[in-house]
Amino acid sequence: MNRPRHLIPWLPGCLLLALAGAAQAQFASSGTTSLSVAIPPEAALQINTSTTTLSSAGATFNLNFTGTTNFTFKIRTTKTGGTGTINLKVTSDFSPAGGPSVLTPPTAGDALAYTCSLTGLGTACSGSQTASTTSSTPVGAFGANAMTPSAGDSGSVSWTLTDDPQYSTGTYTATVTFSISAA
Amino acid sequence: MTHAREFPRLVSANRKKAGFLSCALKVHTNSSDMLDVKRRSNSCAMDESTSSMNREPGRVTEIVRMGGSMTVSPPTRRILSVWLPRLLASAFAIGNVDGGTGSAVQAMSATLQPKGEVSVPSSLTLTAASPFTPFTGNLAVSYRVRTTPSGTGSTGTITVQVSSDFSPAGGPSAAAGSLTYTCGSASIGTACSGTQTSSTTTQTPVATLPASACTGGGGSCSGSNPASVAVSFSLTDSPAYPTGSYSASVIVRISLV
Repeated sequence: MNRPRHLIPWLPGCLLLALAGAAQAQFASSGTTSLSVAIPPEAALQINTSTTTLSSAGATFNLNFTGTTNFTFKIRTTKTGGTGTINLKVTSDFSPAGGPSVLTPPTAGDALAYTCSLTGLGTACSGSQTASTTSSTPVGAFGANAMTPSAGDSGSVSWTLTDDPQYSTGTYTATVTFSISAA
Repeated sequence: MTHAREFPRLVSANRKKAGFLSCALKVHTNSSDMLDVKRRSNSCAMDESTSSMNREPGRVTEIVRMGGSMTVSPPTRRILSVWLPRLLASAFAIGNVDGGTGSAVQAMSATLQPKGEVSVPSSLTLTAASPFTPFTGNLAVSYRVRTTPSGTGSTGTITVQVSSDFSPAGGPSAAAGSLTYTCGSASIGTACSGTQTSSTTTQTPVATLPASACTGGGGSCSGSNPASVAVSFSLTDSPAYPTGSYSASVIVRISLV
């Protein structure tokens, strides 16, 4: 094979020129660009009931305090093998002291419990769940390739708080944080 | 009748001078004692049969490597070294008149036509900062333009059009109005105002170019060359889009009217 050795010293310069030309976009009467986007699994929710008031309709202790929190969520899970969840956690227990408590109820069996409802996409939690200050508890679950409409879907949590006669009268406040995730 | 004789020393010397490392030469003599240097290897290419010096029996004078396959004999070198400078000097002397001065007027004219050209990066990636907020990206459009003076009606436009909608199907769609853009300020001309919706069927505006526009150099022309305008794309992030990668093609045109 005939080797043009005299060209070898010029090769690095030629390569640099070629690379510079390739990197520089060319001028012409028109130019085309490729728009690309990677759409990932995503999820977001919005609490529509900023303050949920728990109330009891009865004058006796056999009727617990109840209330409902409504929310809207959007979720997109991976097409294959994807999952999604909505959970909640009591991030700040009832205060002031002397009233109900999620972490240390005055009476065994006292609890902040809830049931779930989802409209449209997903599977709501089953039965009655007990809220916790130490761990997240389920509200809803989603499978692979779950996609809500652009406006999202809605859901609700219906609360029940034990009305224990040991609770002192007064107003007590706790904070519950909802979280949604998609993979 | 042709018979071959080997000249190892001579061949070795010539190979060294010519820079060949793997060239094997044989010197053949024929019945009229004319030398032919034949190539025996693909790594060298030469034929000295055309050299007058090589026609002297038993002598090979010089092999000069130029471009891998050129030979120059001493007489040729002498001719070039003596006459080439003289020819060049004569060429430069043409036009000078000894003993006097002269002048000539040469009328020159150039007709500059309106022109426009545009350049865009070959790709642009749209990204989002948080879930279900639009995917965005800025496209830098560079352009050069020359329009004719006002009164002749020559102006120009820069437009964009989605020449190929997002694929694969099922995700975002420009045809559905998912891709919008706004324009930054234009170095030359007036950028589009407000939010424009990209289209797969029509060209939508990026900038309008005025008459008497020219690019670069300052003064009545623009100060920058090329001129530029930024196009900020925004793509709706709907949860109804399946996960995955999608791409579309956008064509940016510059046209003069």
